[in-house]
Amino acid sequence: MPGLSFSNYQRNAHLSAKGVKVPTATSTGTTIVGCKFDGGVVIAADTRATSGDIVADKNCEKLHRIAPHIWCAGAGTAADTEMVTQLTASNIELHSLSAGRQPRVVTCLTMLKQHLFKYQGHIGAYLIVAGVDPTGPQLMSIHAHGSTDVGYYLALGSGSMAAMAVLEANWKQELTKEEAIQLASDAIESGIWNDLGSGSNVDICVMEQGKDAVLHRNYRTPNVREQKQQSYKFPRGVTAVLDVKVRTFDVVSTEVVMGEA
Amino acid sequence: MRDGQLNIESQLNGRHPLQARLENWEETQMNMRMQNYKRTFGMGEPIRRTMEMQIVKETTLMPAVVGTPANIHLDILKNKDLDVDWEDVYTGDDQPLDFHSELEKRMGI
Repeated sequence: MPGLSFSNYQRNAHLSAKGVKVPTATSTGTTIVGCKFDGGVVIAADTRATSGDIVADKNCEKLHRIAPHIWCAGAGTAADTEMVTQLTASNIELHSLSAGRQPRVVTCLTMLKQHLFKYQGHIGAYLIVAGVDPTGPQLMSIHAHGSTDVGYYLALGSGSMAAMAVLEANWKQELTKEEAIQLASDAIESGIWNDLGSGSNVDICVMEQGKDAVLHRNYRTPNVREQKQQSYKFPRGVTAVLDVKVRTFDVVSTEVVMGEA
Repeated sequence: MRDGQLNIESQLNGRHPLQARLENWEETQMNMRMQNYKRTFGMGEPIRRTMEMQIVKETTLMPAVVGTPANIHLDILKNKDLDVDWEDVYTGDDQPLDFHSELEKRMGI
């Protein structure tokens, strides 16, 4: 069958019934936020990827580009957020090419929610979609089952409570771009410190009306690794050379000469 | 018997809850759309669309062994000509039927 393959489902169910441990391949710990400001919208994310209680990647990218002016922050299963945003990016491009218009955030939102609903939450993507389009700055969120929200400020992921606490305390109706960036990165940093599933750095993407979207990769790096107190490098020549053997090879090459047609 | 002896039990029980839903997805969506057309435009609309689809299906003859046909006409009628989905990326590892079997199936022999 074309499409996502279910061919191993019965085998895996059988194996787990026999007592084989089923691997868990999720990475759900994340803090992502989005915040609107006058004339634009900003989204931010932490950069920790976890697999159970292990930090799989200390500096991963959770901000995905769907269209030049529409970006998306993803929480949930890392591979699912990546693939679903790539698929939507392709569809949005085809769509705008066919329509001859700039893609809109609601279009992205509808495509994503219909796709996620179809898979009944088995595609574990929790997304904050943001962007500027001819209708103005837009900020929306989607859950894995296909439900969507609209808001001036949003937070998703395991660190969303920590981030939302900061947003609720400091958000106001009229924010400047600088204030919004500050607020979003403060919210992410709150997730980095207070949520165990989130950590490392703050990534930010700013989308402003009439300007190119700007991605600030590692906008804040509050977790730079300390310099080691000692050097553990061995200087050259520490290991004694016991024996040296040099082999010579005859190199045989074949060249194909192309004749004229 | 093309795939050898099949275990009927494994085909019926213990399948992923999503699998049946996805296998019937296109049909379900099409039925829903036709139902809506019927309510808004009257019975003529779904009849015309089904007829057009049938004509395109019956007149496209590209054997699967030569390569799966692009079926752009069908895609347009299904409103799928501007979409990419997993089915377009992961086309499945099903072996294509040989030409004779395909034609037999098509002609209902």
